[in-house]
Amino acid sequence: MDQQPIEMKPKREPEGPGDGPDKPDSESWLAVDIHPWVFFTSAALIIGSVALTILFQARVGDLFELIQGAVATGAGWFFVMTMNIILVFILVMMVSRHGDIRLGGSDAKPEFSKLGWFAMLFSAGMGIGLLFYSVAEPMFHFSSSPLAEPGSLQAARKAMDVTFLHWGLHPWAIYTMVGLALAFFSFNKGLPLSIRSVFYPVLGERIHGPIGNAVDILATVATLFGVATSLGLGVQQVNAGLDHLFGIGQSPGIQVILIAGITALATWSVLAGLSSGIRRLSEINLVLASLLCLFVLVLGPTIFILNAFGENLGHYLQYLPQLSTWNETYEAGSWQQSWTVFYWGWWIAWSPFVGMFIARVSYGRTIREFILGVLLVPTLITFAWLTIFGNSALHVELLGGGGIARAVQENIPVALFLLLENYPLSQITSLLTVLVIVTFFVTSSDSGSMVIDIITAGGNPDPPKLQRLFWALLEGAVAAALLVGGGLVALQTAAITTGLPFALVLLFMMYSLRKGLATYTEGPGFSMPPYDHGRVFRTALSHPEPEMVHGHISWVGKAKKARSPGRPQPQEPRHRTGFATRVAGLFGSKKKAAGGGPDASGRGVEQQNSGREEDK
Amino acid sequence: MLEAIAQRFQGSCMMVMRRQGNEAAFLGSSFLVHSEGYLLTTARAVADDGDLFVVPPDWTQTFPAVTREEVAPVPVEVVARDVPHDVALLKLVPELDINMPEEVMGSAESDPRGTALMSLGVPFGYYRIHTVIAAQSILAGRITSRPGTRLIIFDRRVQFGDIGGPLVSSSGAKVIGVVGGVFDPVELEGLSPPEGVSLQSNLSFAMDIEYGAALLRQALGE
Repeated sequence: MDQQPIEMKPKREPEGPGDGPDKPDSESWLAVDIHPWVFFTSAALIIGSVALTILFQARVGDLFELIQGAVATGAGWFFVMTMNIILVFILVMMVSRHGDIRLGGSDAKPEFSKLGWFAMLFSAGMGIGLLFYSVAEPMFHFSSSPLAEPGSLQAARKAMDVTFLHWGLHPWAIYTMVGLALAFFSFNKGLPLSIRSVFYPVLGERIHGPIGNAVDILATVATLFGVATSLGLGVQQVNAGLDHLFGIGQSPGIQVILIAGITALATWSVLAGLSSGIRRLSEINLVLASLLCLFVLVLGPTIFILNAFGENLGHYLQYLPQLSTWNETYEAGSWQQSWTVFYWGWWIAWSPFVGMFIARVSYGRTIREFILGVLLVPTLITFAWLTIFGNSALHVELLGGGGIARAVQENIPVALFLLLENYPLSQITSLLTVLVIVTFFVTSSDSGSMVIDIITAGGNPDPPKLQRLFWALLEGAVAAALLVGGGLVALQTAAITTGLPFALVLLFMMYSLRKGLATYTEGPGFSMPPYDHGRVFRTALSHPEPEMVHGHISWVGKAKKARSPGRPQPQEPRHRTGFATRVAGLFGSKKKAAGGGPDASGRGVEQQNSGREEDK
Repeated sequence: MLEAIAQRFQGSCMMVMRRQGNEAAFLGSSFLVHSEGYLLTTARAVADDGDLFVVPPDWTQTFPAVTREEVAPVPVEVVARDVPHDVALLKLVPELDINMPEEVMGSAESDPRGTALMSLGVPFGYYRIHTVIAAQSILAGRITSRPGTRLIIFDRRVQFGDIGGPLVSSSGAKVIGVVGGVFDPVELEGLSPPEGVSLQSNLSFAMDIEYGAALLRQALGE
């Protein structure tokens, strides 16, 4: 029988998170895919809040500062406990059997290369804050901290310990948990990529009702305020840096122009999509940041930095249990509240945004790979960054001319430029710094817009372009309006205040994720609807009796007549089944099987086509 | 990992049976390989056409009864047989909406020795014990029989009812073979062992899944 040449079926590229059957035609500019409740309520709340803040900025600022102060004083212990519980939970998840589960199912393949993935994780997770606080924070702790005598060697060591605590495993554990929960419930359970989905094991179908809408609206508003206020405040810092470098002056006009430029870049990046826009910018960002690090490492106190990295890491791990559970109980002070608790509130408030973004770019990773990639790799990169800049600044203070610690008290953004002035080629490194700042801003802004797009599109991971444009522009407009009208700090404080309710949400999310994983069956599996044609057969005893070869059972031989097994069961009808044909080609001599097996041409295959077409 | 594989493939493994009067006689195990209703089993199990059907496993109970007194048949027809390599392709006669992974079949070539494997089947189906059993083993070796059939050797002694079931690799969770039987050196070489020497083997063999994949490709016209 003639056979068609055997050809392998071309491998189908795995479906990414945006390739689902419900994906709208996002290429069309007029296409719209929104969740009306979440989209319009969020937009109205954002615009209304901005207007009210501008109108009553002093009162709004006082109100939220009062709330934030009360939260830090009364619920500091709760933040500390929540952060530690989540870190332990994530570490347990990493080594548990759930670590083998692949996000998107066992056939899923990662959408991005490891480098692109790390670049996006790092850029969205830490962003601009790290650039400024890598110098400023160790300097603050070195100058004034209750943990050691200010300005001493011990203070320098403690400064790095505390900075590592604030930027290390704890914030990344929060991001990991939120990202993991979102990715798991979306990619493995088929729920929308939205904060509401992570509560499915607890709330069931109610996530699609008002409770789910409220959760998504809270996440949208908090994310936009967080990104927009950071953009507004950060632009002031960029302006200060440019003024320091080129003496262009500082004014709201220049800052609005800077916001327009950054928003334009972020809008292009969001419209270009994840692969062409955000990923490429994140990679450029990582290259520029690495270049800056390399500059400081080579031109700065290289040996001091290299020595410090290992020592800082060792100290951090040694004192982690002590520092991460410290509540300043016996000292009765407020330092820990104004630093550690503030940071915990800040990271938790940002977790819906960063977690959602991390989930979006992590399709196809196993849970273990996800945790290693999101918890450990960015933490190590962050520690290297903090050591290069923080220890360089400490070196200047301890062994050099000093002055940075004092400057930090007055102006945080200028601190980094002051540090760079201590080394050769400071004009080039300062310019590079400005470039890194701008790219960090753009990557924070575009990933923020993308996250809001996804949530307000009802969890569509690839929303239409018109919506992306709307949110990217609204983000820039809110930042500019608050910059000109006032109220940036007030709204930022409001965003951080959401950390307390969100800490509760995180614990709830952790329980929900644990429950979801415990009942999860890997992969899509096999399922077939029951076939009921109204006929049933009674099963019969029909054991085989193969022939014997040299006293051995022949596993591929011809069966003899059936007989009952072991004990006689006369009441059971028996049938002769199986082993009806000796499979000569499987074992035995080659000669015996000659002409038997199908080769590349398919010889030896019996096609049973007779009657099939006719039957149809 | 093996737990995940067992959970994933438990719905794929079905009993092949033949109607004899108003009764159903067990012929062996089979497994789904394509969402259009294609299954693989051994050629010897379905050597005779007619009155063939499959019975999906019953997962409605955690501790099901030993025997399913009555079964609802899903008719199948033999699409192709590769008798020399002992693989047959079946197709469900009714068109059913089957959900299953996109690509089930992998390659037996890439997994190194020692790779964890899982075989699924109904080992005692002939004896009316209608339970799908998942059993673990390792990839012990590969061999080409004298007539040229590629066989995968794994370190578990299968039962007659297991024959025709899938052999799944833990690496990539793909089927790499169709369970064929116990790997018996006496039968393989047709030799008589010296008196007093036992050559009982605890190893089993499976036919390379590529033989099944070739049948499927031909059936799909690829």
